[in-house]
Amino acid sequence: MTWWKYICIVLILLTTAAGILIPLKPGLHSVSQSSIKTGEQITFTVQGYNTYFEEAKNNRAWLRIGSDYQILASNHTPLSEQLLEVTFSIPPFLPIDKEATATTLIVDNAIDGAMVLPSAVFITQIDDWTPKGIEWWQKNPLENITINDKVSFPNRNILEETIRNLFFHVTLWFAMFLMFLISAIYSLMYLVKGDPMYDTKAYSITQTGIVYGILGLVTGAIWAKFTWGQYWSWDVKQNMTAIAMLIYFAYLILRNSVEDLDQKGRLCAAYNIFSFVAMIPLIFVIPRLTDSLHPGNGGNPGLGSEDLDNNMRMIFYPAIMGWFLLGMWASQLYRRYETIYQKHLEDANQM
Amino acid sequence: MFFLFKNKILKIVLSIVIIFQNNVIIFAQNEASSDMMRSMGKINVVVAVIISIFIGMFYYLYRLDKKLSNLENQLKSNNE
Repeated sequence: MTWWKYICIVLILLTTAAGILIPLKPGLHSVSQSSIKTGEQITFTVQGYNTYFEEAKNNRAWLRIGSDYQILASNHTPLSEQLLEVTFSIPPFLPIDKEATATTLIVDNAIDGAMVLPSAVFITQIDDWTPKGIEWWQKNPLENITINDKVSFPNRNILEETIRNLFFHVTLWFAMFLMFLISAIYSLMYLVKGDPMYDTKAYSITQTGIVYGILGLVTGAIWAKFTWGQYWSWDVKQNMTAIAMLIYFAYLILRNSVEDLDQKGRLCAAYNIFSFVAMIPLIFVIPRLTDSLHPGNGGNPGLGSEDLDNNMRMIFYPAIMGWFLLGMWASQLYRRYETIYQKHLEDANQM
Repeated sequence: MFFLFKNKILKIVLSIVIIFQNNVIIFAQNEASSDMMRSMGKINVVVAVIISIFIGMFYYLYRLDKKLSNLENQLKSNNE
């Protein structure tokens, strides 16, 4: 065994363990009542996730409109660690001249830090609006907010715990891309130098890359079912990666359909380079030009800092390396088999 | 009913489909409250993803194992 295989084992074990074990940041999931009228006194419960409402005790809650106006809750009772009962006295007038507006719920305590639930409660204006409302909404500014600096992953609505799939689904695609890149380089070297060893290497790496691609599609479909609602949403990136996979399937078929070894090698090497070049616009360019459900598309390059924070990056990049090395390991095993098989065929022909 | 199918891959795929079908039936009966995949912050989606990666890697190993056995048998019969 060579040294990089040990690195592969360590990387995959560490990133998988960290990816599963590090908790999500405390967050707010839902409120029991989502529409109120002005002038009402209202009590509702807030459902938290990974929160410590009871242990923290100094809970505070605000309803916020825009970035200037907010009211502080008059009473908060933790019912359990995950459940907080808050009471708000809604002023008779909204701070802005609108019939109804969405407010953001902010809960802060010393253990969990500040947690935000956007569009939590809708407030409807009953009487005609007067500018008096502005005063009411500026009495209790948002101050002394606690910052939670514990190691954790972002807690996003809808995604929830599935944000961990970043280390399994997304890394597979990155690893696949790296493997196809190396495979294309080997194909190029075969065309330049003519050594059949390069062709065998390119073939075995492409084959593992295809396995990774299929796994990427399957894991993506499972993830999509529980976040986007369907296994296959005909999302542009889903479709384009499926097409890229079909192009690579054709490589396997091409390989099995040519008899002459020398001809097979050159044809496959050329086709492998073509598939790699075809895959780049399919995966990286076209999804960015139109709207896509995938993050980092539709004119918004890369993952935002809310989807991929620094804690996740520290696991994400080593995880890509780990899965990439595992793929290289698997392809190396296949290449060794293929080399012995070729030699066996040659020996059989000579006899 | 799996014994009706000789192809092993087909068996695996079918059993996975049936497991998921059962889940769909559970979803339909109990709505969101006791939904297995959506409970506990959807952590089971991560479990399903990791399991499918394992299935994929095991399938790769299985296929390579089979190819190696064939090669071994051929080499053995050549030596005799």
